[in-house]
Amino acid sequence: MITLHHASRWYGHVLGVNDVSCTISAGITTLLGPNGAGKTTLIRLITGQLRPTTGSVAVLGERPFANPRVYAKIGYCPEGEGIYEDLTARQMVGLLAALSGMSGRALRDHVQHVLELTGIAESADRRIAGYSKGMRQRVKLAQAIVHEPEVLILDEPLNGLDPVGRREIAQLLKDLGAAGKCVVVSSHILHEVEQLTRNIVVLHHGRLLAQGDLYAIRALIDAHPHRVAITTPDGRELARCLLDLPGVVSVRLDGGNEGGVEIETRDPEHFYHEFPKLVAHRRFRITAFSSPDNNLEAVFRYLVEGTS
Amino acid sequence: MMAEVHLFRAALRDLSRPKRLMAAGFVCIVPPLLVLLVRIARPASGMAPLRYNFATTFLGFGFVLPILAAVFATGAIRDEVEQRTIAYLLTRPIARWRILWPRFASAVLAVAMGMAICLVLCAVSAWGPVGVTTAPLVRDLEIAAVGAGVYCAFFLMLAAIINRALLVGLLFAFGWESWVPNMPGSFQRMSIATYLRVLAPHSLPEAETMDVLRMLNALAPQTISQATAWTTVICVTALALAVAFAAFSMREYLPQEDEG
Repeated sequence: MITLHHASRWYGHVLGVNDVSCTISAGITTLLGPNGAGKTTLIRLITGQLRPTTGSVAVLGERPFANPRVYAKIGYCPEGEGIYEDLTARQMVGLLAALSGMSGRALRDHVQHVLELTGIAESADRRIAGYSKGMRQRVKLAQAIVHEPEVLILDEPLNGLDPVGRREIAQLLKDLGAAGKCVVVSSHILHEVEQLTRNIVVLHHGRLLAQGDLYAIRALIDAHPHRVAITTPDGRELARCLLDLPGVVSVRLDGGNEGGVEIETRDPEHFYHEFPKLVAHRRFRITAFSSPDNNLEAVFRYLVEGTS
Repeated sequence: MMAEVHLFRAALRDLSRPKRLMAAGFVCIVPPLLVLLVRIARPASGMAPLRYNFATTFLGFGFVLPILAAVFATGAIRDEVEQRTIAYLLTRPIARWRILWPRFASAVLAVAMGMAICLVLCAVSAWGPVGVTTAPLVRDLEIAAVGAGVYCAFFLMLAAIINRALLVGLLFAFGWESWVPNMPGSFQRMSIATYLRVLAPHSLPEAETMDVLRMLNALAPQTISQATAWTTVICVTALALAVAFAAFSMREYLPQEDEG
């Protein structure tokens, strides 16, 4: 649905994004990167607010800059505080729905529907100036989905929301993704992003570091063997057995009442295949098992560290 | 068309913020107040036309009109950029010029209303209540509306193509439009105010002493016909709007601090 082909964007002498090529399909995709990585620039290229300096950007097969045909299918929730403070939520969402071509009863019904969907229907006739940050975020989301776009671009949509709000909005985004919409979410709240999707695009210093499934990307990071933490009272014996497994590069014993073993392996697939057999055969008692670096935060850290 | 109606209403709501209304009201009230002060100081009834003509020519059309137009017309774009709300508008399935013209129309309406208040109060201040019927108000109000259109179009064009449009606009209003209409030779034709003065002429007494500019003007008097004035005003309005719409359609509008 979204294609970037060697897209670069410079602001004078400052680099926004540099030679980014990727394709984003239906479902939820998270755009990750530290501050200044180029996430917002990339989003502005996709939403047609900026033209690429070189390369090309296409949304649903068309160039998005100042292109109403593309905007009919895009919903955009910008980052930051910009909002029509003097309007009520209903007026703001209504205005932007009217700009999307809606009118009359259809407009009123759609506006009411998205206000309910985003949980601000009860406060919709109050001026936005009196809203909390979380409520403003909901209004911004409501205006992005009011015209039922195929592509939804959300720049930090979870910012300012309380935990309940985050869960509700995350569920809404999951529902939209499951309905076949292309949902691109920029965020730096990694653990929440991880619950939304495994499909990520990682940017750093304007460059695309990685794109695809989180675990597939993790498997490709050779510089950092996979860590597996096991809690067991049979720590010493287990450690000795694990050392014999192919791919295991280190084993570390932790003290404590419940003995802990942490291993590093370059062949996690083989390890996860062999480990249950070993435990069953030697009757080890395992009380906890985790993979501390097989998550978004670790992948993100490894990718970013690798380029610093 | 519904989209434009919504945008027009939103723009009017934006223009009618209390702070903005108070500032505009203050600007509009300056000419009639000065006329009132002069009337109190020199109450001769024969002076009423002079008081009205002076106030409308130099303060109404020469000061209030370009100032209001500069503030309201540049605000049509500036407000959205400064409030960081422009992204909502520019990512909607509507041609960009269709976003701009309702905002232009609301600015023209606001300026014309401000000028109407100013002119009516000037007439009342100069003559008293009979001023409403004595002064050439209908003609002046018509030309004020035309002036609102041409100035707003010009300042909208500035806002569409440069970043500090308000500052440049105010410099233009205070500097260019104050001096150029009084310049000798055909140079005065470079000012919008010159043509508005032709369309709404107000006779002023000849100065007893001649300064250099008047001498030069006397040597090479410039006469602009009403037809030329109308044609020029219409052409400037159309051209400025065309440039404004084209620039707004092509330009990237982003707050620089958001880059990242």
